[in-house]
Amino acid sequence: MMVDQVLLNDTLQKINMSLNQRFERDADLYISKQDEYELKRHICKGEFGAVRDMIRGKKIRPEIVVKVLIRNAGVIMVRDIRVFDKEMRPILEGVSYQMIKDRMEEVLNHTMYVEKELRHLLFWYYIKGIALEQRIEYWESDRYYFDAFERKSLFYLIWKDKKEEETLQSKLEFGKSAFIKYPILLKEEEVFLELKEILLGKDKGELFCHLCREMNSFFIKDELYYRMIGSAYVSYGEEAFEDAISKIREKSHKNFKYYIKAIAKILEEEKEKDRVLHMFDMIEEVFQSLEIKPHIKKRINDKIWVAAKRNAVLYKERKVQIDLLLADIEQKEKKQYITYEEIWNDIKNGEKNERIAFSWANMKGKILEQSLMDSFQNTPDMYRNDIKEIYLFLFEHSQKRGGDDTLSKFCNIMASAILNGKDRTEMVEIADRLLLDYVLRYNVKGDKIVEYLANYHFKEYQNRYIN
Amino acid sequence: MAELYVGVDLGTTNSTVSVIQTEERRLRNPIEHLRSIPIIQYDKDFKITRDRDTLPSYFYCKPDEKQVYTGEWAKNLYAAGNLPMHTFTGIKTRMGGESFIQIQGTSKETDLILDMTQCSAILLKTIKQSIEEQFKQKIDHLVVTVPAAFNSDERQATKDAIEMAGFTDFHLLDEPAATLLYFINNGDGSLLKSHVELSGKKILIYDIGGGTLDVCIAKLEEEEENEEYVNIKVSIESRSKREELGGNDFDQYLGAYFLSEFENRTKKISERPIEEQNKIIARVVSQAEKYKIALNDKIKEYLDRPRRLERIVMTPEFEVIHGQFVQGINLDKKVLEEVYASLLTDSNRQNIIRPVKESIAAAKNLKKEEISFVILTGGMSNFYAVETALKEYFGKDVPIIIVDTTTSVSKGAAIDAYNYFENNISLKKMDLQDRLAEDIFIRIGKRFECLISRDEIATKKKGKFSYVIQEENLPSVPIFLFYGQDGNVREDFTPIAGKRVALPRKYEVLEEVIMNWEIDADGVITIRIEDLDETICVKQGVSQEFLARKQVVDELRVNES
Repeated sequence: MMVDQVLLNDTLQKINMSLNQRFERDADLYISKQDEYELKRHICKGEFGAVRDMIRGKKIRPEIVVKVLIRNAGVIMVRDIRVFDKEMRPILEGVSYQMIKDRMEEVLNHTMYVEKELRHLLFWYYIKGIALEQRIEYWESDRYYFDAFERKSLFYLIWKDKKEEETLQSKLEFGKSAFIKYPILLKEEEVFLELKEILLGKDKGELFCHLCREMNSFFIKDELYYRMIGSAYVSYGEEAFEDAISKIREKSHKNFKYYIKAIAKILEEEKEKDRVLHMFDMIEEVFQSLEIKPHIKKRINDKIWVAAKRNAVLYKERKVQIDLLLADIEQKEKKQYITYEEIWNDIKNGEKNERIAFSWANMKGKILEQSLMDSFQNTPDMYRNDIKEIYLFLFEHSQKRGGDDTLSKFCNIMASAILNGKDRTEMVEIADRLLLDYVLRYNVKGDKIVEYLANYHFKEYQNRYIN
Repeated sequence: MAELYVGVDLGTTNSTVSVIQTEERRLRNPIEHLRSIPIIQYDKDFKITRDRDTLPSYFYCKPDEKQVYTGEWAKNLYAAGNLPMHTFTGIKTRMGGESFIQIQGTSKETDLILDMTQCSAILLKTIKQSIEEQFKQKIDHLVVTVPAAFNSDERQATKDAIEMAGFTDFHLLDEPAATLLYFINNGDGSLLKSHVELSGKKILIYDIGGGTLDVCIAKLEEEEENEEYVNIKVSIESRSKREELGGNDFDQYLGAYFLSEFENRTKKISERPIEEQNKIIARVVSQAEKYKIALNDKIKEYLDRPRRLERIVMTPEFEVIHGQFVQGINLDKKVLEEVYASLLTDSNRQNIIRPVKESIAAAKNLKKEEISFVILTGGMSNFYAVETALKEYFGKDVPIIIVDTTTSVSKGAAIDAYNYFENNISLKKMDLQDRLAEDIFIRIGKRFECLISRDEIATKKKGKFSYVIQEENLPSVPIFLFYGQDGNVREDFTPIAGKRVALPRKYEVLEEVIMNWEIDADGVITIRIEDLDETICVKQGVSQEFLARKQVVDELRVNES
């Protein structure tokens, strides 16, 4: 052989590269078709050793591997993304994503098919690899459709970088606007906790003030947002406890249940004896205070004492009080309403309608009839729907508790209340419609029912008793 | 008023134009009116020439003046290597892709960025100007040829280029089909000379041009015959996959040999600035082309005289850069064949026989002995080693017929343009039952499903496909197409195009989205989703962006002094 084939091929590669580079959008990322084919084949088959060999042997840069990966992403099916991530990590972490920005734009614009898992992987490394300003550009742009994972990743990285670069206030404002625009982020419970970890001194205090403000006035009134700020708030321990206590002392604070939840959590988790005893004494004092509304007391009963019992340090020291308080709850739960006044108070105080109905259904005979008549006469319009719901629960509970007999008893009492009621109020109309429905549906009988149908629903009376 | 039918072979290295000009519709013998026409351009001495039938596919751009020169003069400048950042070739092999060129002006404002469609449009604009100057009449119909293996994107890019150049009534035709059309009409007399019957024959068309090698196997059946009307039914039995192999590759191999010898004596070109690298490579590759042609001519002359053949030796000598020369090389047949060894030797690597074997393998139950004859065409088919390799492969019983290697494609295209009008009935027409080189798949979740089968495409140009939704409440679905031959070998799949399509409503899991697909006569795929009011094209049609790109081409002055 006169021609050195190896040398010829090497030189041919140089020529190819030079000729093709003139036409490459990203000339620095040139790879020959043959090499691209081989690389694509290895990636497709998950032959990561061969990929590494090619990178080493042919001195292929990580950016070129990622370019090939993106360009052929449509035919790549990742079997196990964890293995893929592990194997490709050194390559992905070695990439200057600025260099393959155009390619990534195709991924982000969905003009290139990329499996969701692979897209997420590339997305993560990409946004990790670009500057904060560019991340913010993506965040603010309406051109892209980012799914929950991508939106969260973007938020997380911006948030993290902002922590180091900007004032706390601007970070908090960014967070707030993000939560409003993308409620999906509210599941990112850790963000405020992480922020607290990093902040020092004054900033940490400022964050607490922010959390106090947010607790005081939720801009998104749901459990998700509470979970998010609540865990960070609680992490301030005694400070948060005192803030929560002061809010409980305010009359019927609209977010009282969230503060009580926070107090319960703090009380349960505080391990320092003196501090937890102090806290317990404080909440007990508030509980016993005459200023505290019954519904708040009830909520404290429901949440705090159980939590106190769970704290071994506290329970050991205050066993007697805690057990007494818990016993008292048990006692109270067995109690029935005696007057409609008590029922009305619970309604006004926001007690759950189902729970009110449960206790109301414990009333018997004439007391029950009287309370129903009172409810017909003394219910302001704005509570009409609540009472309607409670009536419905009353029927349901009766039926569930004792079957048709109990339902029949309740229906006869209700019929009597309707018959004996002074005026035909709107509440009577509501009760009447529900009663008729149950009477017909469950074929309820009884003297009062006969009288009720004869007086108010003659057609049904005829059908049942005359025809 | 005379009518004008034009065929253009838009080649990788050279383009040609042929026409049929008629005064009357029902010509007695229209083939006598078929001719290639000159393409007006500047010659190598920068003089306007009106007698060259080929337009070298090169151009030289002066962005400050918005001036472009195409053809011989540009090729000469490219080969000289003195303007490496302003002279270009090799456009066709990059059509439909993302390639573009950036040509620097004296300031940033005058820099010019052109994609491959625009570059191709510049060459077509030269052709259009040339036709207009010679005929001063409108073109009744134009046919432009493309490699059979061009995919939907490449075809669409070619159509865009034709429109950008200002042509209106046109369609595309595959290059092997054009050659066949020319052949069955006995355009150059090779049909009569070779005394072959067409009916019932299986023929292999081997078209090797500057940048692409197309192989297809066709079965011919004469349908009916009367005094002036003959139809040939052509069923494409199989075709090779896309093979980017042509004269340019041979030039680059020989150029690499020159360069490796040169580098033995000087510093490596990779140590030189980019501009110098481009200059060197333009020179060695252009010189390689010259020596390849010259040596081939001599070898062909004495191919049957081995002793004389042994004595043919050339000693290339030319300046590479800064007074440094390629010299001291003895180039003879043996060395040439060693340089081209990997292109000529049958192996798994890219070579001139592999597509033949692929095509035969892809045609069901066909043995190479059953090929009736081989039609050899394309610029590179002049190279002795191509014919030799085919003869060796097929043996002496399969005739190899060389069909006008320069103009057969454009002439076949002109015939097709003429046949486009049904009243023009004196030329043989082809009822082409074409097929794709590969199936077209759509990706659905983890699976690839065959959307368009290459076996069915001859008879089926449109169809329905049920896209089964994999996840509920998806706001959009990805519709991405891929070429592939075997659904199980996905690493060989090539992405074509696609996009995410917004769904008009929420779909349940396993609910079906009905998609209607269609392949037009030019091989461009369109997909329409029934639930959507608008048609979704895999490749978008005319857009503002297209018009803006066209304007750039319109503003360029081509071959104006």
